[in-house]
Amino acid sequence: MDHENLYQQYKDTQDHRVLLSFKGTISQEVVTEFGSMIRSSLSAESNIKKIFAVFIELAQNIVRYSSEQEPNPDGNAGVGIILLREKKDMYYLSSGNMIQNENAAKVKERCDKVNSMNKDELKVYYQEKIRKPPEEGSKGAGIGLIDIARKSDGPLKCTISEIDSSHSFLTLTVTFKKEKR
Amino acid sequence: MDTIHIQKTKASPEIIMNFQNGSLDITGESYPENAMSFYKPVFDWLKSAIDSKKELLINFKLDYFNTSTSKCVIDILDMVDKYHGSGGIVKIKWYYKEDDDDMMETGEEFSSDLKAPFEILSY
Repeated sequence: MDHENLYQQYKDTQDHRVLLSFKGTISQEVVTEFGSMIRSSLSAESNIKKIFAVFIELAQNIVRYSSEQEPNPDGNAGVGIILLREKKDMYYLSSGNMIQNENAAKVKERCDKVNSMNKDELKVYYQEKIRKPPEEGSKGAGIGLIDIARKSDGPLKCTISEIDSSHSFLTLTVTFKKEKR
Repeated sequence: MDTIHIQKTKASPEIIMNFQNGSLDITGESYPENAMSFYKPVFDWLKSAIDSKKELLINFKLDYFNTSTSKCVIDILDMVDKYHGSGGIVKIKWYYKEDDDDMMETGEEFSSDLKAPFEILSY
């Protein structure tokens, strides 16, 4: 990407209906600002509360668990990528970040587990997990993925690609049906 | 003990803890970076209010909260419920915006295992 083809990127972003695209250091401040942006750009969407909530979970996962950490004076910050796209009937919200290889299997297992459950089973699982102490290494409640699966439409897509001997790249994609209010 | 007032920010709610009348009000949106440390003063306040055998009134008026906050909300509810179980007088009120069915259902879900009086109200 350079000066000459910025227009091309502008056009691509428009043609692919990219509502938000960011790669960089994500801190709580950035989460809050992008959250407000998503709220205002999707204000006519009846699913906006769910999209906002899932965005917060995904973005805070990057803040806490990206293996590329860049702490600032105000707290944690992690490097990652966030992408929100609009298609004909759906919104696609994706997050990506580096993780340690040793955590890959555990993340995949959690995704598979929530994907194997229907909404009622997820509700029960959520209630069961919320009263348990968080798992080792968790910096939150350890129920983010369950909440994401409950709020989105369709399976949670999870891909983990090994980058080198110690790191893998985690991609999560969540979909939402479009619905005007 | 004076009233403790935590001002709201974009990602954290307003919290008012009034020791005199045993009331705790949590109002707004809650997705701070570290919910456990954000809610620490609330747990400390609850503990001393319970130790002083205060009559408690807990008002949740939340429009949105993230999963790490939900853990804190459950912990607050469990603490208050336990106090109720040992003879403490408590009342919990869960407010949701009139059109926010999800927040109403969350109230139902969170109260399903509690024995303490729990009211779900729209505003």
